[in-house]
Amino acid sequence: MKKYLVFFCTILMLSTQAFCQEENEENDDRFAVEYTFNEPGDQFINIGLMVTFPLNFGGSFPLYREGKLATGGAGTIGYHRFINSWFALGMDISFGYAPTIGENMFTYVPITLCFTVQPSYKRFEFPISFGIGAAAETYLSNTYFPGLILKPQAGIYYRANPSWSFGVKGDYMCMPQWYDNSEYNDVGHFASFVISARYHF
Amino acid sequence: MNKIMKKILTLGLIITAISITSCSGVIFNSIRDEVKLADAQITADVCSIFRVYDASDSNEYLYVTAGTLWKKNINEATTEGTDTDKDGDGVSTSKSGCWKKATKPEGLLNSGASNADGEIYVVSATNGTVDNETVPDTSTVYWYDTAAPDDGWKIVQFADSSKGTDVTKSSSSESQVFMIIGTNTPKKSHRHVFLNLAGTVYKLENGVATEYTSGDFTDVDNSTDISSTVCSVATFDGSSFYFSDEYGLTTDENIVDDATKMYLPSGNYIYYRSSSDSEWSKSSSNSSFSGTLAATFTTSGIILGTESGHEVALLDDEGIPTGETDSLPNNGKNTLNGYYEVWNMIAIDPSKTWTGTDIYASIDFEGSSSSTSATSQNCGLWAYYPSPNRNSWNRE
Repeated sequence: MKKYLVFFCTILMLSTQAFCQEENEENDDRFAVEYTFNEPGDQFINIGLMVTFPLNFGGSFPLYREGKLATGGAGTIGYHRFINSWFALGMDISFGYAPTIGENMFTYVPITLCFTVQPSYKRFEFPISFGIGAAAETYLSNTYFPGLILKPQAGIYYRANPSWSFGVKGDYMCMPQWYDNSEYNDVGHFASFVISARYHF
Repeated sequence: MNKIMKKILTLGLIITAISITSCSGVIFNSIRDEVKLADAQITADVCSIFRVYDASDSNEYLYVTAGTLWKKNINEATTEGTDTDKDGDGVSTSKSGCWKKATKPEGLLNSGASNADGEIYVVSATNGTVDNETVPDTSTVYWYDTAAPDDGWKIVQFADSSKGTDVTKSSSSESQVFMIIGTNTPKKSHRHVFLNLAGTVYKLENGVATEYTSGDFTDVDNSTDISSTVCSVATFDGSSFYFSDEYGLTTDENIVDDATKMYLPSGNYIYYRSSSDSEWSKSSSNSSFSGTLAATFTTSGIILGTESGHEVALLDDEGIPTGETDSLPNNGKNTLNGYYEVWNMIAIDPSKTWTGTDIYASIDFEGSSSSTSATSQNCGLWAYYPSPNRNSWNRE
């Protein structure tokens, strides 16, 4: 009996060696994975609706009704592509309008080339853009084309899933107008609040 | 950098380069000239705007036919620079608005004019009913003597009884011309009224229509036959008359001085002549002159009402049209813009500049609001009043 007990305990002790696992693997960086929202070559299409405030035509926030131009609106659509995890390049096209105090309408269609830097934190993305381009501006039977557009923007987006993000932006738009008769030279300053969605692919 | 990004960059740089060298219509500067629009009192189709000397109070009035009849005392705007100038403040202007409905004959009024004696003549159209449908019925010429207001409106009679008694046109003659025209001069003594009835011109005086044949037809080819489609008349001295089938026949007569030049917009030219000239001369060609519907003289230029808004035909120091044009200052270019037809235009004191006197104009548009950028709310009578009154155009 004692012989069987000794034999059984010996087998039991040896079996622990068979199941005991030593960690022999080295720490290999080739297999480390870091997940980011945007990689070089990632693209997105953004669409947005905005309220536009004319800043230098008189009147007061928010409707500017007593000014020469009142608060208007615009819609925008654009395509952007990341050249690395932080920077993107793209184009935006908008259509905007603003009513005048004389019951006429000022309309404009700006096309801008946008340079964007986009830091992120967890699911939040903070795009900061600078746009430069041209616009077709129309008022009664007058057309000013193409007019220079300068447009810095900043916003915050929430990445709901890998394909969609939603957020808001604020932007400032500068629209200078130059003529052969310099007394007609003028510049329009506008600020917008944008609600936007982006489709990433 | 991949091909897509290169293309985006290239397109953006091209757009930016083009935009720096762009130029076109004045926009922001024009928007800054706009004013808040007043509620309009006269919004119907305005057919005529004419001066009236009211013999009952010895005041100058402006009358407007727009279906109904409106009048306004403009004595203050017409007395500047004359012996009767009361305030002597150097400003030729009346108060804005202040329109009143005047008594009128039955029917809808269209053309009208007045003469030196304070007699007012209008064409009034009445409707009838056929098969429960409203159809044009009769057009009649009525007259009103401001020196005898109690007599009211009466029907003008033919001097030649062989033509009938009352001066009317039935609906069966709907295609015939039936239109009152007047010299409408700043000087009361030069005001005369005529009627074109189916191509025959009649002079209207004391409520009687007398056939008139001794005028000069002022077609630009210098012919002297009165056209069957005559629609305007002008005079240098109040005794001899020039008729035209072009709208916009006008002179540089003012409240104090007789006319020295007569102007006739036709096609792409402004034709002009002095009282001693035997024929017309013409300006350089400018397509902006075509489609003229009305004209009024100011020392800044001849303000034309056209099928596409307005133009101002500029003059040299001798009053000869240069062929160049300009737009009215302040918000005139925004209000009388190319979306509208400007059918009437009158400067109360032609001896002043375009910002020195009251100017009235009526606008309308063709088509529908959905097919143009015009709005029916802007159709009707507009006016400009100089500083310190208002210095802008607005609805009346």
